[in-house]
Amino acid sequence: MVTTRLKLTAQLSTLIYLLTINSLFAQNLDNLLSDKNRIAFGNYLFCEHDYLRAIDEFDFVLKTQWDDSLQFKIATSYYRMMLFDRAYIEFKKIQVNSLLFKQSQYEQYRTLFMSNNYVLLQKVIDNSTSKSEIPLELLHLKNSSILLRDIQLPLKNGFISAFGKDDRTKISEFYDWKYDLPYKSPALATIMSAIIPGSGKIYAEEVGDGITAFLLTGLFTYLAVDKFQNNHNSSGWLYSSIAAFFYAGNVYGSATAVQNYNAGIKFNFDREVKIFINDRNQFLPTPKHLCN
Amino acid sequence: MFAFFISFISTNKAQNLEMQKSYADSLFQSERFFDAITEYKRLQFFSNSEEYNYSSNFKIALCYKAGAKYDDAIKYFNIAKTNSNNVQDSINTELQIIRTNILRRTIPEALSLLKQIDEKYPNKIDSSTINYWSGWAYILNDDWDLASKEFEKINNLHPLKTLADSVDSEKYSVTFAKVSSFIIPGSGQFYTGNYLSGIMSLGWDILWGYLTINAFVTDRAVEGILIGSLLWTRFYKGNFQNAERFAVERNKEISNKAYQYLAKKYIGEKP
Repeated sequence: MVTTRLKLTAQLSTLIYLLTINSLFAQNLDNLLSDKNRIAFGNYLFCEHDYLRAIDEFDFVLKTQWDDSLQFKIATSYYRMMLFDRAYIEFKKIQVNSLLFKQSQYEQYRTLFMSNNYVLLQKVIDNSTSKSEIPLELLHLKNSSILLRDIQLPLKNGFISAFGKDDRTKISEFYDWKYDLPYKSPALATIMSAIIPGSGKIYAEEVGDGITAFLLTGLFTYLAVDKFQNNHNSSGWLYSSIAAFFYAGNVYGSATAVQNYNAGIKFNFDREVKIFINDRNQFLPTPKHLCN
Repeated sequence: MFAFFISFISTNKAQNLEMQKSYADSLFQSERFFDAITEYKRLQFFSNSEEYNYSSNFKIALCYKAGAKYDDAIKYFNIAKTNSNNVQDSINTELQIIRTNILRRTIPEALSLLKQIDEKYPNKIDSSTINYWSGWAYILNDDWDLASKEFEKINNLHPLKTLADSVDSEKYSVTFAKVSSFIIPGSGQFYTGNYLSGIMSLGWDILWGYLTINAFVTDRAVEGILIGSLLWTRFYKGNFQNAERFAVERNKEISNKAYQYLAKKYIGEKP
């Protein structure tokens, strides 16, 4: 009886052993490339900031099985590689029934903000929810992105009241700054330089250039007049041409100087606003546990 | 039986890793460097032992180097160096770091590392190796005279010495081009083979010089000052600046021609 039981056990063990051997041999290299291992390896690459390779691993797994957390990581990888357009498309693939849907929506807004697509950002925020129910964080992002657009600002009280106490002062400063950006008029600069050469440049805060333009145009005009008065007509025409050249350059240069000045004003304002918004993570909650 | 089973599993894992290494090596051999890096990284990730640390990091670094990602290459060569199994591995890795620095054009770093490696392994590295890579460092630094001296230390008839000498002798003297144009406007342009520019330069300087002097001679001082300051000095300054620029451009063309030869036709070892 005992012998029979032993025999049976031995046969059973051999069978299990052979089955295991077959299975392990069949796995071979595929074992390292199983979905589970690809995800583990992809996560490692993702956390090592090797995003392009992480995307490859996650994409491979997604071909056979849908996994919203992998899709989220793919989109995040594109975002971190600053490929914002692609990141936006990838975040949009996460369905409404996913637990990550809300965060993926936040990431879409963040991506649109980072790609300077403020028009679409505001449109998407407005469409995602009824206006009276816009969550506070989205209202913050929407309002602050309005500061970066070339549109008329809404009324100040309503605009800044959406923000918390800490941010309200800064947003109020930005509002006032934006409301009355110290732009200068290219037309005025042109007219000024046409009347008094160089004055348009001084108006555009290029004082040195303005004085030079005034002196050169004045000097050549004086020489031209002097030559004509002394009947040196050929020299007179030569100096007239030079004076006209400097005069035209001074008028044109004044207009472009003001344009450059205005571009600088806009650039500085946008930079300050973006620094402020980015310091607050675009007012949106950031994804957590991506590398845990 | 259980012990046998456990031993079988570990043997099987080792086999898997060995196959993974072969696969990564085959990608490396077929110059699919992006994929090769992925597979070497996979090998590292699944291997718990330190067996593949040196070889995989070294190969990853070579892949990055081949893809001209020199910062990444140096990072992985340094990791490989810390995992090297013997002195020869360390030397090979350090030489690769030097060669990558040469390609990255961080020449002072490459030269400093060459000096260090020479002192660190006094009897392990042939002095000709140090001279050879120093020569290459000077070549990539566009310093053909010093390159020639380094190759001469290896062999007076070394092909790279001959090349460095020929490039060095073919090059124009930037100082001579500039100074000659100071003395005779346009002569620096003639020296660099830009004859039309030379004639134009000479012509303009004669014209404005004549008008300036003539204005002063005929008591038209204001006119003389204006022509002299706004036209003559401008053309005179442009003349020697052009001569200098032409010499620099010509020298770049000569160097680039040599670099093309080295990249496409030179059959010796390259950085």
